[in-house]
Amino acid sequence: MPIAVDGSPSPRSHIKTLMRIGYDFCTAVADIVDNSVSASSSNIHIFCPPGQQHPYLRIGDDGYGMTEAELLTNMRIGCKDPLDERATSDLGRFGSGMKIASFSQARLLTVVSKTKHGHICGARWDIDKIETTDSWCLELLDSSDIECLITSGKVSIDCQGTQVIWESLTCYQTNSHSLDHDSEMASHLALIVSHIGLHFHRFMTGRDKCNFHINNKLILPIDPFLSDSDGYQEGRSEKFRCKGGHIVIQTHVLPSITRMGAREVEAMGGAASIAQKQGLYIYRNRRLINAGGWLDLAKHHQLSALARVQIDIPASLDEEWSTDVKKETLQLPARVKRDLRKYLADPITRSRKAHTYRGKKDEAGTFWKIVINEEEKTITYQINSDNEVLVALADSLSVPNRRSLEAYLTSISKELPLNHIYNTMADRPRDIKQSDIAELDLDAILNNSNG
Amino acid sequence: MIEKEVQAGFNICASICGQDGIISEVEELALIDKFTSTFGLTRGEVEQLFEEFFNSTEHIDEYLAQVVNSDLRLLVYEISKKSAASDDLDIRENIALERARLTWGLDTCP
Repeated sequence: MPIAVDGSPSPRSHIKTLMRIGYDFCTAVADIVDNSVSASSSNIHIFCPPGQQHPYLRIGDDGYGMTEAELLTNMRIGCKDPLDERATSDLGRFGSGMKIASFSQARLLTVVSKTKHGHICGARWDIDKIETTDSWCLELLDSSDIECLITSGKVSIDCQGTQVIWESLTCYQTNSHSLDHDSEMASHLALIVSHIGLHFHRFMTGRDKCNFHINNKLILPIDPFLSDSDGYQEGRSEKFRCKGGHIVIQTHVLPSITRMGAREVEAMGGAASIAQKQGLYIYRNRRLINAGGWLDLAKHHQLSALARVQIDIPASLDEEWSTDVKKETLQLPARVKRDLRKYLADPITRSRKAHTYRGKKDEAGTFWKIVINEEEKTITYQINSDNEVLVALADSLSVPNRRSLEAYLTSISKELPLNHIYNTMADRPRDIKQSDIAELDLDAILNNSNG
Repeated sequence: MIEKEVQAGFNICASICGQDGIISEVEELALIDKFTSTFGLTRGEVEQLFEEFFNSTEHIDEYLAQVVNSDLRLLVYEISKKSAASDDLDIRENIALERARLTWGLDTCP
């Protein structure tokens, strides 16, 4: 009969694994914010004061807070069973996110909390201590420790709430010669603004909205469907009953990029990003966890750049959808995949139409000819030799000059800067102003060549 | 209080419609309509039946065994058939429906 022996991992080694579980700065901050949202906060502040010799980041909220016993439970890694039923507003899953997300960015994690009628309490994980002692030594802060944090300005709780403080930040490139801590953190915070604005945009509006701030500046929601913009098209929707509620599918088609305002295009990350982020937008309890991509259900195509499919799932489906600890990836169950295919065709077709419509408007008209050879699978753009002006001009020319003109126009067709046009249409379509081209000054050219 | 046999009947219909753990909106509305009109259940009671169905782990065979009244069997079979067919009967739903028919020995056209 086998004998059970202790096979628990060494804390010193295990903490190193936990530190490298794959969070980046944005997903790590978002994981802490999840807890704040779950705690019914009205205000969430991400704060990183500039000019610090030892920079720190604080994520604080005015949610319902924790008692000392709750705090100690929640500071344990894996404090919740992922199979346990959770409240519909709970954005957590494994009970590990806050700790692991923090360990990926900082070596010192302090959490201070206060319930409405309770007293302030705090606890701390210090990776240096875990490594030195090779033990999971969680520190419970006493009143003088907390007072010290308040005096230093790192903690500031009024009536109730929780504050997570990251110190000994590992996200800094300590060997960087080009950046100081402030400018490096500023670039991190700029990324956070768009990440939080997008992933939590549905919590930023409505009756129970929550205000998100970075260094006291309000973060504005980024609606990935631009549903309030002119030219937005709402498509088919469907609801599926499932364990714990409904899966809701809603299709959207963005306005064509030329109809979007410059600010909208910028907020969406530019035209290339709009095309890149076509696809499925999956929300778990209203929190965005998958921003674009077709998850192998459709092909990424420039013509489907405007197609978006919104899928809302309740947290009760975590197991079936294989949500990971970072709530960043998931796998679609077989039937959902099968049913989803029905909904993809509609926004993709309408996105194509939006492009095709523009294509017809911009059609080469009488000057260019688009030759599509389906047998040889080739497409060529050629000067239209039937153009009346060209025919009249050719008629007026001597045979040798006519040949020269033919050769010149053929060269123009062959030398069309297709790659540049393709890239520019993808990245900066609004900057292309063909109608602004000034008339060709042939006299000036002739004078130059004669002179 | 919902009768045990009616609940089992509901679970059979839901099992047939929800072969992969999800029930389409059209199927859901068809089930709500049939169970409120045929069995006099309230909307809230049907909601409760849905919740309990999704939280249960029993197999369709166990539900089939719980329905013994022959009239109820026929009724449940017909409701299942209509609800599942409301958004096209797929192959898996059809197999589950056939299973119910054969288990109960119903003399009805497949």
